[in-house]
Amino acid sequence: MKNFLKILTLLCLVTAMSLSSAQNADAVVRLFDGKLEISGFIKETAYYKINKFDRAWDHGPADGHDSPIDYLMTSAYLETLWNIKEDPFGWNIRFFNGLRYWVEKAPLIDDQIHRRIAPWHRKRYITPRDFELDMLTECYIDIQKGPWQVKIGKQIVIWGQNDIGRVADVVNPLKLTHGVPGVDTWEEVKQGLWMIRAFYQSSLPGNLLFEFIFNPGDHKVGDYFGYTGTHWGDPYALDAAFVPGQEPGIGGFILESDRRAAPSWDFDETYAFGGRIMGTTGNFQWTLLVWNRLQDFGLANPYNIGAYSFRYVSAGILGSITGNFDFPGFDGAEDAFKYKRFTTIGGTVMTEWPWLHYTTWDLEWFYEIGCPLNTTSSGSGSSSDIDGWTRKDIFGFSIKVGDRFRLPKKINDFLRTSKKVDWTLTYFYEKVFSHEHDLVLNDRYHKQQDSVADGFSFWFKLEFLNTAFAFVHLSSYYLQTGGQMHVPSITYYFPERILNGGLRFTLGAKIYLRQAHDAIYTNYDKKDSIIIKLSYEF
Amino acid sequence: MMSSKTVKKLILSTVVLTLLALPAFSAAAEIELETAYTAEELAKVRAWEKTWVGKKIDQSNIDQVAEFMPESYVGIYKNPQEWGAPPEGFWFTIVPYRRVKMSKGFLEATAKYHTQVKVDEKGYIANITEIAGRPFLEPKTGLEIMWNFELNNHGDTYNYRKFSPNINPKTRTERLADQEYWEFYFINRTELDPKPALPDERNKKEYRRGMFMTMFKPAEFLNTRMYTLRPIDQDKEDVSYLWYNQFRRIRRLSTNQRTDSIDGSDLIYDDEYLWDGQLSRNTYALKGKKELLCSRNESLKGTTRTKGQAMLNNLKFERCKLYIVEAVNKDPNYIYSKRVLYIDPETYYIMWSDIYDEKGRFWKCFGNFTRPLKSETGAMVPSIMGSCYNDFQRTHSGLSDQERLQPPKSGIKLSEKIFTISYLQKTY
Repeated sequence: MKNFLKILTLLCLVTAMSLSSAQNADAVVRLFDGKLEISGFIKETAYYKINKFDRAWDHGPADGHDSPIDYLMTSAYLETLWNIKEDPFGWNIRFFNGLRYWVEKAPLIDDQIHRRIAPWHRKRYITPRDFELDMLTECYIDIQKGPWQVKIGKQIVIWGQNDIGRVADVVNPLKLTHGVPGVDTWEEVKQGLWMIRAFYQSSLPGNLLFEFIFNPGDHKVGDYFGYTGTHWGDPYALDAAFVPGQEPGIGGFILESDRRAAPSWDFDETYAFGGRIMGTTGNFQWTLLVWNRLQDFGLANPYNIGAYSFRYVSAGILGSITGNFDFPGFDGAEDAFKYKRFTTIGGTVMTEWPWLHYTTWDLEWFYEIGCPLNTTSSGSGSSSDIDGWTRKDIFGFSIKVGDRFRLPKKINDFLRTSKKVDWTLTYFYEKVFSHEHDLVLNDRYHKQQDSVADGFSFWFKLEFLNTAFAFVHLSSYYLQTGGQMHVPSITYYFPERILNGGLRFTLGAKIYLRQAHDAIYTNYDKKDSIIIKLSYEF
Repeated sequence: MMSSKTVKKLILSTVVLTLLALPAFSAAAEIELETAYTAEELAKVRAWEKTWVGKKIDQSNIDQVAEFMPESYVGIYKNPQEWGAPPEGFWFTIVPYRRVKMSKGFLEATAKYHTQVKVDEKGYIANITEIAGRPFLEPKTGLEIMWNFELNNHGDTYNYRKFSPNINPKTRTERLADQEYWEFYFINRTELDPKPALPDERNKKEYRRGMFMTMFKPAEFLNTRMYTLRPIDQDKEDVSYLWYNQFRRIRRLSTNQRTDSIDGSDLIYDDEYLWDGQLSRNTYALKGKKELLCSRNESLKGTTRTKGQAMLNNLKFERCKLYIVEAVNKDPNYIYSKRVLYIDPETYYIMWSDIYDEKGRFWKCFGNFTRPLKSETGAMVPSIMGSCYNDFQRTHSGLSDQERLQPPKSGIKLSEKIFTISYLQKTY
């Protein structure tokens, strides 16, 4: 199946290119009388670390860098849409493909980074290794007639409307090894899943749209932590290898064990299903959803994790004595970590409030029924103390307000812009019910032993110099942990005469601030970077 | 056999019925909409045309026809290098005035409904869902003229692709916007059944017009789509949703956005058609008439332009006596202090618009280029083929050419079901 898809997609592209009589007035390339549309981007991204050597992390060469370039990625994304049949009043059939490729060059030019990435991650971090997992983002056929529509194949579903955090966006797992939401596109950070997705547009009051999804077993692990030693992963020095320089450290071992324990295709075990209703009532556009699935990142099995970890620890202790770490491997990981099933219900509401400056409001909420969580009898809530598991209900919501305002004319004239400043402010909140301070929640951005996690994110955009430039700022702040992220950037849009107006240059920065008790932002601490990006969109 | 009495009664009733029906027939056959010129005025125009038709107007002789040009545009032709002109400068040709007739369907609807128009105390047409065609044959006020503008239905459905460079003539750089539009009129229909309005079950939310747009350029907006529904109720604002393709997100667009500029252009959303919003948002004053040169019968094919050039060359302009309507927005914080609209009395398109900033200083001038377009039903429907936009405070320009990438189409088969969130999200 994978080979078939690979061949089909490549054949499509090669044939299209070789027979092309492409018009190039559009951003999209159209071939075969417009039946085949091709678009995408090519991008070069570099992160130049600002705080490269910090004594707190300095273990000499084990700091993990020969140079301040922490990330140097060439990535490409290609979308093809084949309009097989198009009839607004009859059958519409389309075939959609998304392909990505990347080369992360930082490990190739920096020996320290190269050595600090675990060997089983290194190759896959540098370039894609698996066509279906890494390169094929989406591949589905879309059939529509009248009020019915069916999409069959690998898809990325987006049910929520937030740009950064995910509240109602529950279907596809993320892969944060090479990017993050809000900065990179969804095709780059979400993992497509094979599914059947059906829609029915009713004529019921409120224009109700019914959506049903069935995933027959395609389960993919959510990569929320990045690979150890890479830009988005734990710093090597945090990873605590028993024998410095000999992989893996304990953090990397546990994360990789969890990944390897993930069940793969199994119709009886790994299916997922759910649905959504979308409607309009008055001035409100709303959705209600339900989704049943396996966790996309597993729980430590308290009955087995001890014995499993002991094999690693004992090998590590021996290695620290002999100087040679004999890694015991990942056998038994599937017993040490378990992926459990649970159900999420949720929804969204979108509206505009004329009496409040015509601001737009987005509310999203979710309720996880019996979310599986690890526990610690010590009450520490630390992931290194796990000895139990339980299920808890979790409720969360986000409220986003958006508006635009015009700067004074003098400033607009100085900036040579007529564009308003566009901004949004989001508050997000999550509470674990019946929390007994023993739950392991740090992967959900909770402070240890805290049932609540909440915070703000803020975004604004100002275009100036006749929209040749755009200044965008994105910030987030977690109230409980004190973790902060600030990402200002300026983008220059090259004029039309240069590559048909598709070239962009971005200069920005990523600044992270954390408190001592913030386990998540520990990953990003000392990762403050200047962002340099050149992209071509077509 | 019928008695003579019966026969007489039959003949009498037939005559009476015929006499009663005659006005309707004669109205349909005879309704004449106003023209730009009376016969006397036209004679004078023809006399002027003897000198000027066929003449190329450029920097060397623009002063001689300056009285028929928006003042700001005379400046463009006189100082072409400031506006990115090619070595030969800017130029256009004068053509004879030609009357533009509305379609047969439009005329029939006007004949049928113009006597039924009811205006309430606010000046709104109270029975707007029951009428079509031109409501005011001899408009006396600015608001009546604007109602005539409002009920111009573009053939009931309309599809066009806008090739829109945003031009910095000083640096000769431009950025291209490329969008495709579909319009659909729920009421005031004259060409396509059902007429004059969709039945209630197909228009439960009482919309007057829907507009769907797909963007192709700038590149990051590729396949971003938007729809806007305009309510019949003049006191309600448009409802707009945007599908932002790059982030696969649906956004409810704020009404605030209507006064935001569109990408890098000199337009705000209200500037579409040179006014695109509920009539109730402005007050209108009729300031008289003025003869201006307009492009109202010609295709834009044949015009020429190089990159960085703010105006098309080889436009064909004819004299036309336009209504002058001053529109002042009721929002004291509105971006413009006023618009002065120059409206074609035959098509009720806004042909030129002078725009003033919040301090009352002249800021922008926009122009529309129109011509009759043969619709898919065979009717000739006056349609906008392109526009020019110039910001005179910042020396910045824009153009839109709706014939360049694909021919516009009027009277197409279109369903109101495209104005739904699900259609926004469909694959591409």
